Amino acid sequence: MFDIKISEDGTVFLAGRLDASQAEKARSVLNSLGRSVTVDFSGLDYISSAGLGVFLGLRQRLDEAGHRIKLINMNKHVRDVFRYAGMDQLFEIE
Amino acid sequence: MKKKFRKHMVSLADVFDFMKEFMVLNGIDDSSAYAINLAVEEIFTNFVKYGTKSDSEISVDLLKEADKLTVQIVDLDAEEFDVTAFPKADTDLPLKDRKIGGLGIHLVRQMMDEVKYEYKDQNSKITLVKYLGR
Repeated sequence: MFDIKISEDGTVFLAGRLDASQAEKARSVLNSLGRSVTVDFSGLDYISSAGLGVFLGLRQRLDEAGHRIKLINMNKHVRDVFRYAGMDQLFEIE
Repeated sequence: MKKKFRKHMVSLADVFDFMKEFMVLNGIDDSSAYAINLAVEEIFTNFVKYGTKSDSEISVDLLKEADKLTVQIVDLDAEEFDVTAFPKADTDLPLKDRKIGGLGIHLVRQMMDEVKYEYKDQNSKITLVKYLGR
């Protein structure tokens, strides 16, 4: 089960498990963003390389347009996956 | 504990349910359970993406012995193709040059203690070992 929602203030909220079967759902929502954005990971229990690919694509696209992305409230396991992939160096993570 | 799954991405939810049952039954810690879930997903999805087009099955076999957890994932109708042999992902490249290809196997190698590929009789087998509590 995976859910993604954009709040009224524009923050993106993730919940559940972002695995390979859910990556397209995440990508389709995040592709609608064309501005600087904060993504709240507090409800996300799990991410794999498919999910990392979604965020790498978003980061590259926003960077080209001069926009920023901030990732907040990751649990330890999700943060470890970003770190193992060397993607903690590419994102502002709080 | 062993189960076969249809070689399709829609099987992932069933694979995770199967692994969750094993983790609970065997009291596997959260950190090890996460690593094993991720490793199995990465191998399973690679088999789906790069395996033969046949609608065959993939078996997942989990075994816990003392502090050692072994997983065997077998594509039961495969051409010989070592999914663990992807070129090493370069995780130091600048943003614009980063690619996602090879990252899944990179994560598997980071999070598992042993990764081995074998091919015999149209079966592609990946054996993963995780030493628990490390």
